[in-house]
Amino acid sequence: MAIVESRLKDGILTLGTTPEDFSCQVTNCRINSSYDDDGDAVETLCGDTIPPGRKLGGRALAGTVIQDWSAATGSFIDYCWDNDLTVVAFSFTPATGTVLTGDCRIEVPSETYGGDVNVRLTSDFEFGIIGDVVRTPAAATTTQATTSTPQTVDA
Amino acid sequence: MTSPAFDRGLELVDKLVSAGIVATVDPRSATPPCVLVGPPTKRYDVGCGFTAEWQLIALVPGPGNADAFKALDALETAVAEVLPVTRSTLTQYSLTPDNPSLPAYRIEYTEGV
Repeated sequence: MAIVESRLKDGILTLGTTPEDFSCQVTNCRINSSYDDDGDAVETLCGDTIPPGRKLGGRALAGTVIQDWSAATGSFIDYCWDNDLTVVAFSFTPATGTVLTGDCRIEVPSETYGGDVNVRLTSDFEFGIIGDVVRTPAAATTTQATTSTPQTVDA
Repeated sequence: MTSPAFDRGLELVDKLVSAGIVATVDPRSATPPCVLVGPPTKRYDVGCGFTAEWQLIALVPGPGNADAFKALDALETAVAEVLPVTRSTLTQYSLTPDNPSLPAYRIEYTEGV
């Protein structure tokens, strides 16, 4: 069986209902998911233990961008400041293939408007995703929703 | 067929020429003192395009005496005022195999293309 190696390349990242394309600023982009224990482990009389269930903690659109605050228009950094804590639509295409869409809450990256002198400046961002992430596979006619609401999975 | 690095090289030449610096992408037309813009090293580490690691060669006529020192320093300083240069290294450069090596600076500059 041949190895399938996916790479983040020739992708698209847009933000906003009227999509603004920031693809050319992005050097790293991904969907992060986190899970938490749902309750505590329970030990019974015989000594066996029932482990806790698991629930979705949340998802986030995260990555790294090249700082672009010197751009006259279309700056990702300026967009974050202008839309701080606003929920906006996003569309993320990692490469020619699956398209992920949903809503996320913009937060200004922890480091913006500067850094080291005379080198490429980057900022790490993480926007919490509100609601579902809709994954549309390449050449698919149907979409598949991945729920982001807390959900218990029996161990 | 596109040649984005070459096109960007021509833009850099225009930028340098606009600042009063003699610059070219072709060693055949280089007449020191001048800046030679050659092909960059490419790193495909950005979403669109690539990172170009330019190594511009600032050349002055030999021999490597104080006059050359002064001219080379002035030329390199002029380039650094136009481009966000990260490093300049003293070197020697020969425009053709049968010509003597000339005093030069290898000027490093990185940008997304």
